[in-house]
Amino acid sequence: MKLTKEQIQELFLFTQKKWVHYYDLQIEIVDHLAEKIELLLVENPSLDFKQALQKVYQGFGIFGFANIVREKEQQSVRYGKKLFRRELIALFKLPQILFILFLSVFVWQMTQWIPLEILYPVFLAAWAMVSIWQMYVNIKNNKRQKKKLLMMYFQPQSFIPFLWVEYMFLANELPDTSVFYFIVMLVVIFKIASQKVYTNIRTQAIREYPDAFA
Amino acid sequence: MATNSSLYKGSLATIILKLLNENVKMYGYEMTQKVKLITEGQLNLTEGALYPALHKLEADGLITSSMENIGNRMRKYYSITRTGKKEMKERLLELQSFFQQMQNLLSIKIA
Repeated sequence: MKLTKEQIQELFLFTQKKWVHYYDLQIEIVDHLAEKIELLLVENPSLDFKQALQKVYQGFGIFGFANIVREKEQQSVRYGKKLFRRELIALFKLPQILFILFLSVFVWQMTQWIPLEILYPVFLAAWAMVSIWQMYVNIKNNKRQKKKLLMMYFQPQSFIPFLWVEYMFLANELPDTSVFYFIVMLVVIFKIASQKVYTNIRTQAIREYPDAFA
Repeated sequence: MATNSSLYKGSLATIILKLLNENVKMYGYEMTQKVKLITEGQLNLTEGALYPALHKLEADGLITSSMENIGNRMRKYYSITRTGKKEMKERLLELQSFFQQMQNLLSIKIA
């Protein structure tokens, strides 16, 4: 006995009420519930849909879906970290390493040619502009996203080292040239890797769950 | 007599990998039913244990997933990756060795 589209929608609402707010996880749980309910209704025709749903839900134990959501959140973070490490390593392989080397030489030369009193605020301004632009893109993307996805739970931006911010707010003196060079390279490399992870996860999400996007 | 769940908890990932190795692709509920069938109802693979294990294996790259429209809803299918197959073989060997050790341990007769 196949469930109707309305009953499937009811199952989606049920999962939401039970604190499953992520669409990708809802799909999996709804399919599981639906399959079990369909069989239960065949085996026991005296049951109605709601009774069957309650019976099936009991099978998830006293914590309901909570354990599944928590575990999946942890796995999404683990997966994101794994992708991040992979992207970082990829930056040190051909052909990306050529760009990193070019960037490295370029930043070093800048530190040699331009006094840090000028270079430091220029880099700060550039950094602020990139961050604002990224924030704007993220807000725009989030608006296009109709449903929350657990696969996008990982926020690679949190991987950006705070050394830069610390220098910006705490340092009374200008950093040493080599320290400045090191921070700039570290921040840029982390930023590139985290942006690539975000783009990859988002592309995968759009491909797998087109319904979640406007 | 149903099998004590704590006895198979540590082997859940191996069970999933083995199931997926023998079937091209499977979905969560299908796995619970397959395990029930193979063990003649002795082993009950609970949803609360199955899905976290599946998600962990997926994050580790041992299994992969794909979505399929089955008419009135979407379904998530899992399949084993090449790394997963390698991992499964290693885990099966470990399990066999463990069984052997347990057999040796439990068959000890005190004089």
